[in-house]
Amino acid sequence: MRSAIELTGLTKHFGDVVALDGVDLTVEEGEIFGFLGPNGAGKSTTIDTLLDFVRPTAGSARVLGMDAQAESLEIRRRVGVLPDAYRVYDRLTGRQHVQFAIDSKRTDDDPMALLERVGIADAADRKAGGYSKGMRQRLVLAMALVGEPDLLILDEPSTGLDPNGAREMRRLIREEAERGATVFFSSHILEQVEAICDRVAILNEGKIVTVDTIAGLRESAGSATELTITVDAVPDAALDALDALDGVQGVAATDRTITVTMGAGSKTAILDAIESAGAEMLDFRTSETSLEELFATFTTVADTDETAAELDDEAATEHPDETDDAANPAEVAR
Amino acid sequence: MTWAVVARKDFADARRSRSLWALSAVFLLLAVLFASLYAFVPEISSGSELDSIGLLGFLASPIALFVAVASLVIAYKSVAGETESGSGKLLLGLPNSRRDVLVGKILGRTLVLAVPVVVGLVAMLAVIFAADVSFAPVDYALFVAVTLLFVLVYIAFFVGVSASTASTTRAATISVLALVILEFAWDFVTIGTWFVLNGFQVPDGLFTNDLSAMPDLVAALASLPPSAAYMNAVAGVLGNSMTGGGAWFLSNWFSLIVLALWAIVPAAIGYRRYSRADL
Repeated sequence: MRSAIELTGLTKHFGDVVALDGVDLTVEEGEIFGFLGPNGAGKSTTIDTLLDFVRPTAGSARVLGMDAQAESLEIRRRVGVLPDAYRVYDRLTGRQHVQFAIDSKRTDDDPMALLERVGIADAADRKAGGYSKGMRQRLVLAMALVGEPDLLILDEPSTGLDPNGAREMRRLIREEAERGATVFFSSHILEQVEAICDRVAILNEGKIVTVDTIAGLRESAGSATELTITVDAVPDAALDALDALDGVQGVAATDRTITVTMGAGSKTAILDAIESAGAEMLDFRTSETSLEELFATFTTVADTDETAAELDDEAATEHPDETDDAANPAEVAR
Repeated sequence: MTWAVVARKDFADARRSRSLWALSAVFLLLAVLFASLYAFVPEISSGSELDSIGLLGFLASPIALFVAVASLVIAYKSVAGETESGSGKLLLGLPNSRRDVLVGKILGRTLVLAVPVVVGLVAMLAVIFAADVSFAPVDYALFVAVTLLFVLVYIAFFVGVSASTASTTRAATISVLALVILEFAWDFVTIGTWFVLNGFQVPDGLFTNDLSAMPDLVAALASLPPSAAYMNAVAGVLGNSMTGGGAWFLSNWFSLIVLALWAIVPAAIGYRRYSRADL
């Protein structure tokens, strides 16, 4: 199978800020691929690189087998794009917008049929400046569907849509995939992708954290167990011993509790290790991690201050010189 | 090559803007007003015989100023505005190259200004016929052609400025500075240069703005701004003499080359910066 998107060591610096740090990713033709990550993780920068809006500092991006920089025009003939932080032409009507996309792509689509498909045909001859956020999102989606693209690149497609609109968006994505198109879309909300994606990649702080199927993610979420052990004191030796055990994924401690995240492995071995380090156990609990919690552990940084990150994110898009990654509190703190 | 698509989109967008209609109205009024002044106020035509060539010569200077200011208003946001607002992501997410965008913008916005200019110049014909001014159709057509070239030049200049930055504030600052220097402060440059070349003595005719009195270098400097080149080109086509008296670089033919450079150089610099920019 040929790959629709192939990123190799993709790196992008904006001044001192590292937006992307050696991203390797392959999206196969025909799949619905979810690109997950908190705001400011570098999702939009990745997408901007695919479309030659920004040029990589190092590494390369190939789209539909073509170089994203050298063959950008041919790529854009075969790709449909719903960008992030775009703005429509206030004085042009919905129909004129779609016609512009049709003329640019030199296809003979019927603009009304496309507007019908996204559900805003009745507003076709109104100026887009008067559209609601959701209608603008539908309009730009209609532009993206022009010319039956081989690849749809959708950056946060559910932005501004009500639950009903988000459901229609998912239906359209499925229809396009059934037609044979590859769909690559980004989101910072897990539930938007889990219902529909074949595979997902999670991006955090400019790095790919994991690439897996939803089923695979669910499996690692279900199998991961969190043990919380209350002790009289926490000897350093205990933590070292725990780290060395098979199946242990993470160890954290406060002065009276030890939290161990584990996949496969023996709980008894953990308790033994703590006791043989000289600590007395007072209590212990276990809990299974959910998919949401798993996503949160991959992307903890942004969850600590989601709202601030979102606000900064918007501010950053008004200054194209800066990256949205500047909004990431971790980047700033470094 | 989708520059025609971009130009059409751009014109369709601007066509619905109220400022274009205001601009057309202003230019229409100005053209008719100046034409009427020439035709009906003897002091202005200095008693010489009224003809359309005299009228057009009289009109060239106010038209030059109008075109310069109007193109700044029409063009300074043309590219930077799209980058800044994010509509550039729609434009370039489609298979339009950055060169298509630049060429399309120049042509689209030229058309935006060409419409009011042509409307004004056609309306002026009414005055010509009403006032019984003798009419020379060929000269009139040549004048319209040179004026449209001048519109293209100034639009290309400001679109080039707009493409060289992603900030409309910066585009506005550079554009206004350029306009002030080229259209209002240029006399100080020529007068100053002449004064210095003359060994810091005031030469004869320093403030008369008479090209033939100037040394060639100073005259070349005085002919350099776009509007000066436009006036020289107009003088050439109306006077049926493109050669002029002095050095080759002072001929009226050369003013057409100067005009072309004012379009090509800023547009090329703008394209170079735009094509390399991260959006």
